[in-house]
This record gives sequence, C-alpha cells and structure tokens, in this order.
Amino acid sequence: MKSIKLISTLALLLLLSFPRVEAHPHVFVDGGLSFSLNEKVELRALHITWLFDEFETLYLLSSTKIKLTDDGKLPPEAWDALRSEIGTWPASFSGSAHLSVAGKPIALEYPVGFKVRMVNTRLELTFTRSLPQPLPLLGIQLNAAFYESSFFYDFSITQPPVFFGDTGDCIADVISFSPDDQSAKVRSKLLDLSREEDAGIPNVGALFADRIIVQCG
Amino acid sequence: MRLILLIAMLVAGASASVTILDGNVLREWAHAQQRFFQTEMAGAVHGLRGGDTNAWAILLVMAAGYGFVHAVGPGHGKYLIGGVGLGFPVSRMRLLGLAVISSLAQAMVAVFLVYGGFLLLDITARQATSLAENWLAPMSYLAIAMIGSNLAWRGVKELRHQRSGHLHAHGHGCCGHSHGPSPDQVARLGSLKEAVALIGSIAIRPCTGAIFLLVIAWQMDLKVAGVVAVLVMGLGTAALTSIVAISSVAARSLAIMSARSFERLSVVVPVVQILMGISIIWISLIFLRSVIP
Repeated sequence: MKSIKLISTLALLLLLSFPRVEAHPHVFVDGGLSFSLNEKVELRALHITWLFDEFETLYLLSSTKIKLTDDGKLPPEAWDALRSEIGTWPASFSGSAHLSVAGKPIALEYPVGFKVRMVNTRLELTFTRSLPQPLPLLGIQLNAAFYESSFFYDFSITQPPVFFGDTGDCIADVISFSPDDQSAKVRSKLLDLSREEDAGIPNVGALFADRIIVQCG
Repeated sequence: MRLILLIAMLVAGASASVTILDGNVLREWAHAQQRFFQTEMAGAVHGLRGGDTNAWAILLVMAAGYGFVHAVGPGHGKYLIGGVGLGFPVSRMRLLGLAVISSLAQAMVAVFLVYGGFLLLDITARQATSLAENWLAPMSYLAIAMIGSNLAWRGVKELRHQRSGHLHAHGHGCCGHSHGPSPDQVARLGSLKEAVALIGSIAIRPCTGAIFLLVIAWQMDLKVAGVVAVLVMGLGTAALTSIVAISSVAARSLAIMSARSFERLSVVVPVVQILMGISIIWISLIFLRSVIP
C-alpha cells in the first residue's frame, strides 16, 4: 500500500514536471484598440474591439441558440444569451489587452459597456476598460499588446488605433506579428526602451502578438 | 560502435520527424490554412442554408483540408502511429489501415458526443466541448501512455528472452541469435485487441473543430451535412497520419535492411522498441500535462 502511494506520488510529480503544450488556435479574432485621453494627455480608458471569425461566429450563435433577424442582424436579447459565452470572465482575465510601460504592466479595471452587433457574417464585440488612475503619456512609450495568453484565440490588430479626447501630438504605430520581420521591428522599438521591456513577455500568446506603440509629445 | 550508430540514427530520425512536423514554417503554414478552411466552411454553411447546391462540394473539400492542416498541429494520433511504425514490426498496409480507421473513429466519436449528447442528454455545446477537453483528452493521453508502456515492456521482455536464449544457445553450441522479427511478433502487434486499443486511444479524443462544426450543423438544421463533413474531415486527418505511417514504416525498413549484416541486430530491434515505447509515453505525458491546470 505504501509503495503504491509512493509510486503514485512520484508519477504525479513526474507528470507535473513536464512542459505544457499550448493549444494551437481554433479561434481567430480581428479587431483593435483605441485610446481615451483627458486634457492632460493622460490615458483614461481603452476601447477594445473583437471581430470573431466567420466559423466562430456561427459556433457562438449556434451554441447560444441565437437566430439572426431576417436582415441578418442580432435580436435585441442577443447579449443576454451571449454573456455566458463571451462576457463572463474571471477578474484576472486580461480581455486581450495588455498595457505596459518600460516592461511594467498597467492595471485595467473590469470591462464595461459591452455591445454586440453583426458585421456582415461576423460577430463584433466591443467593450471599455478604464484605468484605475489616469496614466500620463507625455515622454513615455506605451506598449499595448493584443493577445490571449494561451493562444487558443489568435488576435490580430486589423483596425487602426484611434485617439479620443485631447490627443495632442500622440502617434500610435501598429507592429503586426510576422514570423520573418517582427523580431526586427520589435528589436528596433526595444532599442528605445528599457531592458525590462523585452523580459516582460510572460507567455506564449505574447510571442505572437500584434502590438501598438503609443508615443506622445 | 555500429550498433550505437544505428540506434542513434533511428532516434535522430524520429526526433527529426517530430521537429519537422512541428517546425515553425510548417506551423505557420498550417495556421494560415486553418483559418482559410474555417472561413470557407462557414461560407459553405451559409450557402447550404441559402440553397446553394455547390455549397455541398465546397463544404466537403474544405472539411477535408481542415482535417489535414489541423492534424499538422500538435495532434496526438500522428505521434502514436509514427512511434509504432518506427519502433515495431508492423506492415505498411496494416499501419495505414489503423491510421485511417482511427481518424474515422475519431470523427464518429465527435458525432456521438455532440448529436448523442444533444438528442439523449440535452447537454449544451459548452458541456460537449468541455467533456472532450477535460475528460476525453486526458483519457486518450493516458491510454496512449499505456500503449507506449506495453510496447516498451515488450522490448524489455524480448531483450531478456534473447539474453537467456543466448546463454542457453552457447551451452548447446548453437547460434541463438534472432535475425529480425519473427512472424509471430508481427502477428502479435497486429492482433485485434491491440488494434482496437490503438484506435480507441486516438479516437476517444475528438477534434474540437469537428465538435464546433457539428454544433453549428445541429442548430442550423444541417444534421446530415454535419455528419458527412466531419467524416470527410476525418479522412483529411487520415491523409496526414497515413503519410506519417508510410514514412515511419519505410524508415524502419531502411534501417533494418542496412543493418542486416550487423551481428547484434537482434539487440537493436528490441532496444529501438524500448526507445520508441518510451518516446510515446513521454509525448503522451507532455500532452497530459497540458490539460492539467
């Protein structure tokens, strides 16, 4: 009996020592990030858009038994049905938006203002995440990555970033992931950042992320 | 020295196969193609709903393509099939048959899970997906690990048998060496019980893409199209695992043929069996670890 326990414990320890294999993505989400600034050129909130791929759209509608209207639009009660599938997140879920400055993550509040609509044959979800404290943008580089950590969802920035409010002379550069030249682009950007910025990539989704670099002033 | 070289060659070949199959270039290609096939399948579903007769053909072609490129990813079936082909005496046609049947059986499990679950148990789509990912996947990986253990143990037994036979043979002035797998060994690997175990271990974990397509088909009243498309998707998966099956058996035959003159061939065969058995266990445990929080 003792030996069975010992073998079981050893087997479990051995198993837990194995590296994890991340799932290859099943879901493709296009979209992007936009930025709300106040008059002091401080970031107040992030507006996030997810545009699900056609296949996932069909799956989400089917799994929640939503029937589109005759003109291909969502019925008014669609969000109530979809909430359990795509709008109920643990507090720790990033919501695909990862902000950082000099490698330090910037906290975001729980998402609010969920809206859904159909864009041709694709489901679009938009929501807003405020910052607990406004973040001064003058003289810094804000790194906004668009990804989901496990890479089950493959996010791509397909919409140009927009500034709302008093934007001053802020610019936003989209750096799309590319297996050939992303490393070169990121490297050129990182040359202007602190060393911690590079080390701030915590998980596999981040390795394939599209990013936006925001600079003001 | 040549013995070590041969074993190293086989192990390096197996490692290279795995590396090539999951290499960056191939992964990027499969990744892009997967999105293309998913989008086209969705378009075909809309077409079927709208009465487009061409949509049937588009759906089946895209489902087959999806099955193929999805299997290029870190799927479990190709590792087991490849490991068995490299390490064990099994004929090309037999392994090919096992690859095809296991892929089709995997598709059928998806059909039973989704349609059966909806019809008989009134489960939700999320519950069906969760059952596949949280229960069936670990069961599949455990089953594959057990098959790997069985195959490795068989190699160990063969080595011990030869060792005792060798000593015995010297006592009677006879060679006592086995120069390759006996017909009995081949038959043992291909027994019905083992074939069912191999097929079951792969089939028990259905592809998530197949589950998604079946959920869509059920809700959109395209039930027959869903079943046919998922079976064709299974054939697409089978195409990839068949390539792995043929390649692995060919690689093994080549290695064995080139080593026919080796004095210690009888040792090489079971040692490679043990290594392949351990490789199968190793990979299945990595997969198992990935589904444990």
